[in-house]
Amino acid sequence: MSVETRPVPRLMRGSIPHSLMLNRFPGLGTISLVALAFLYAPMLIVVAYSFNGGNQALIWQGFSLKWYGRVFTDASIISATKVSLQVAAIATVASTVLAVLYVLAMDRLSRAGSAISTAILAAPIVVPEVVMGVATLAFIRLIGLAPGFIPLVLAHTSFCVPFAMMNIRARYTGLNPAYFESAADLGATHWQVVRRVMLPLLMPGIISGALLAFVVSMDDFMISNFLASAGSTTLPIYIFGLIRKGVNPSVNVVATMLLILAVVVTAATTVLTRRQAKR
Amino acid sequence: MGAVSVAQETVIATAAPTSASASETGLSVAGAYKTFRSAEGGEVHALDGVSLDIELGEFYVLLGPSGCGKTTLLRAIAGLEPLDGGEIYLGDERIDILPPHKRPVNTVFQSYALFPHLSVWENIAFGLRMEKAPQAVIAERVAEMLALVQLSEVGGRRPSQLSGGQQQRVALARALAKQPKVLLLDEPLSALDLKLRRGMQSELKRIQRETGITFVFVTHDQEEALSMGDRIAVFADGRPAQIGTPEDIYERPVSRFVADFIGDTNFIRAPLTVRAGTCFGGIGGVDVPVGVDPGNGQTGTATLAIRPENIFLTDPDQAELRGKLVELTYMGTDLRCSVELPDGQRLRVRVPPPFGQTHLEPGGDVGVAIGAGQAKVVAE
Amino acid sequence: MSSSGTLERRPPPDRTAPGKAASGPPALDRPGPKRAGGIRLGRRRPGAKPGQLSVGFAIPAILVGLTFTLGPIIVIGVFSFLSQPETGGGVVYQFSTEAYRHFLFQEDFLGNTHLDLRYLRSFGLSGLQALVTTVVCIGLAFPIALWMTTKTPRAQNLLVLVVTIPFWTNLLVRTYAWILLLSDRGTANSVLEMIGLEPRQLLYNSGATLVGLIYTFLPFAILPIYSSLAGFDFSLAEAAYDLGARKLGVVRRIIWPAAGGGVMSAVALCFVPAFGSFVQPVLLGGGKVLMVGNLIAAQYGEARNWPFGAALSVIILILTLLGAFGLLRWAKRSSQKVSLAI
Repeated sequence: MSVETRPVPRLMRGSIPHSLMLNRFPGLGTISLVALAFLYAPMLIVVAYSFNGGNQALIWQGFSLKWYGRVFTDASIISATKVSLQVAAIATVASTVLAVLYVLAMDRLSRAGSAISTAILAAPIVVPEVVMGVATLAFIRLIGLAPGFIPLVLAHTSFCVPFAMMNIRARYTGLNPAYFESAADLGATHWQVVRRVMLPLLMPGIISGALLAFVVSMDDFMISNFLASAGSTTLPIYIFGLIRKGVNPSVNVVATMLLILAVVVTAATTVLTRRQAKR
Repeated sequence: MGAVSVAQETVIATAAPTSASASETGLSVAGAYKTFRSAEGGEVHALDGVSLDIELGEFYVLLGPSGCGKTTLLRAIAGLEPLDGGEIYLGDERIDILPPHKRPVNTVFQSYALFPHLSVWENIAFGLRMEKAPQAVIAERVAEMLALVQLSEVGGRRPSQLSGGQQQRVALARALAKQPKVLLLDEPLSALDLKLRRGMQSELKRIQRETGITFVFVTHDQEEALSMGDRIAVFADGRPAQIGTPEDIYERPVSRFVADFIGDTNFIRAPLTVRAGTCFGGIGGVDVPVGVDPGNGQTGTATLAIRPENIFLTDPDQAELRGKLVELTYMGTDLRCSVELPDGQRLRVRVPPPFGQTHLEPGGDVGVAIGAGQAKVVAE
Repeated sequence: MSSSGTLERRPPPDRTAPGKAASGPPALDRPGPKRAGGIRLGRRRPGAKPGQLSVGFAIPAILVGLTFTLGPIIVIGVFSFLSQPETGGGVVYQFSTEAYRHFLFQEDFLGNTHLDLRYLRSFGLSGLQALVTTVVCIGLAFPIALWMTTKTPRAQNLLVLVVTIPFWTNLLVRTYAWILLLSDRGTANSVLEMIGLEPRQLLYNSGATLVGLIYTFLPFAILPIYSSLAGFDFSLAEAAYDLGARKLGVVRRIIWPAAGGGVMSAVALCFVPAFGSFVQPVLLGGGKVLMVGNLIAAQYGEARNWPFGAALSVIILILTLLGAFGLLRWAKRSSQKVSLAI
């Protein structure tokens, strides 16, 4: 009665009252939409030009899949892609495994130990890439390795760990410890708790972490550039060389493929995170 | 050293009626200590020398306000919280040194902790799978448990597809599936609404009777404790303040804390006198018997606890003890009155219906009578 | 307290905290002597909680971090104090501060040293460029993040996805997109021509570099600011309105401070990589202006002065560390949550 007649401000948590905000700042939506257009327009132009039938990247001569055909048969691009995929696959698996093990054990480190090891593991996110690149090159040389496939894999594994770890860690800290306590309470041994309860519950975080690690590895140009040898040119290094020479129809195609990879991985990660939030 | 033994005596004394007959196969906790470091760096004694004996087949309630140590004790029994000191025995087996998965006790968690990635059926089967029971045994037991909690139709669903009450039952079935010697329940009903809660209370009692398993039930809800427990341990500051049957606890609280925590109570400061072997407390100049003289001839001022429903309002003209009615609230099931005594202390009084017969008016004089034997001396 | 002896509870016993009692465990005088338990000394070693692994399992990740992250950083620090070989790359194991001297001074044919500001200017230019990038990114990101929070939860999730996709898109792809746009016969010049203006050289200058940097780091700024605003209780803004604040006042006094942690994260995530950027200055700026990133890379490529490259790296690292410490101190003082991960 009295409750119903009282005007209750119907306001969703986490939203500003529209009447108050948007009337006063009509520019807010406009700025945002323009900025989003700024983010997407260049990439969409690349995608559009990838279907150009002409021999020059910039003159539109009708829709064609010609350059897709060329790229998919271009031996240099195929070999560079192969190297990138191999490095990314190994680095993804290795960094994800390392990240899972670390996350499951990190609460048992001492406070200082945990702070120091987290700082070390997160360093690749903060240290400028060019510095990480030359430093790794110097290190590789120092321990007697020559640039090539193995240094690439080692470096990629190490800088993928923090990216793989972000989602796994977020998932882990979001889990109610009662799940594991109740598993132990029901007679599960230590390993059984990890295998039967912890890993299945962490799985969305592990998959999205692995996907991010994969993308980060596939994307890396700066560090790889210092570590690759002629025989282990990665895809980003190869297309950097192409781009440096100017616009190139093949690059349009490769760029489109990499863009699709980003869309797929981001969408998959979002779906996985959303699903875990629902539980 | 000596100090500790005093603390122990206090506990044992309050547990007197049952501790002597403690069953050889029950659960017993001896001198359990657990200290946590608080956020401010201080120490919190979550368990401060707890000793108690729980009999086989008993519905034992650990009752107390939050932070009193009751949940810590439950978790210590389950093996989820290592003790700093003390021992826990189940029958003659010392279990506090066993890891949780080797203890023949199971827990119903406050959050239920049903595995979201497993079906209801698999949740209940989990414990049996861990001990590598044959598939046939598992199937039979799970079906039996689903029937026990009346959820036979939902075995294939995920926990997230169940209502809160159903999840509660699954958690119960899962913990019972291993046929534990003792079932630990950590505020299992606190997430349910009042109506569902009532239903589950009688359901739990039924299941406990049917299975005959010892239940150790943690709650902060005194009504729940009184209605469900065979025995109750009222916890305060990391140790039991009183252990006894619901009737003991309600009718004969040993301390102000217990009397205050369980139900509604008036506390009156009263001078004590002894006449003819009986101890009297002076309330508003009138001596009210408060029990047998302890015989040590001591006198002084004590705190008396009197329940509001044990005080009666009478005709002021014929009453020995009179007061002024200062407040009157209609509550539907009764009238809540506040009466000011001549010495300024106030008494809350509950007047049962029918209300018409008594002529009550705020500001008017009323006579006050205290039910025979209903004023009790409690420790401060 | 009272005079009624036995009726009052005995004063609480004077017990020693069992966890701390270092010696002489007080024997537990339990009247029922069935199983008089002693108080165990000290805490039991806390075992792994269910689901956790023992410390040993953290070691592989830490080892990898120590070897391939910390190791190279230490090596570069050491290299910066070594000498340059006569020819080619690499180092000679002989202590020298030449690399650091080379940063500020130059030696002419006669052996006179004089101040050389070329490299310092590179640092200054890079810093300025990173600063402009950061300011523009945050200036754009704040209204966008604010706008995002005004949307329904569903729309917010979608918008986060929309902002995240560029974040995970290959840096070269995003830079290349701007080459396509800005090149002589590119989209921008076509548009200029269409509206009757002279086409002009848009690429290979610092403006193009700046656009590329802003384009690259805008998502880095939006996401942390959005996440700090998304958790904000907007009833505080309502309360401010209720207390008579104007809208601009609410934004300035209530919402901006609430976004503080996110803004600081955004500053760190934009400034540091923009400062050491390599790809945009080379591809969009044409490599004409020497930025710190290119300068360092060049020491391991054509210029071949490893110790000098190492010294430059050390200087960047120290600047980054100082910035991070300042940020953490600020965060601690204003109890803001600053996260360097997205």
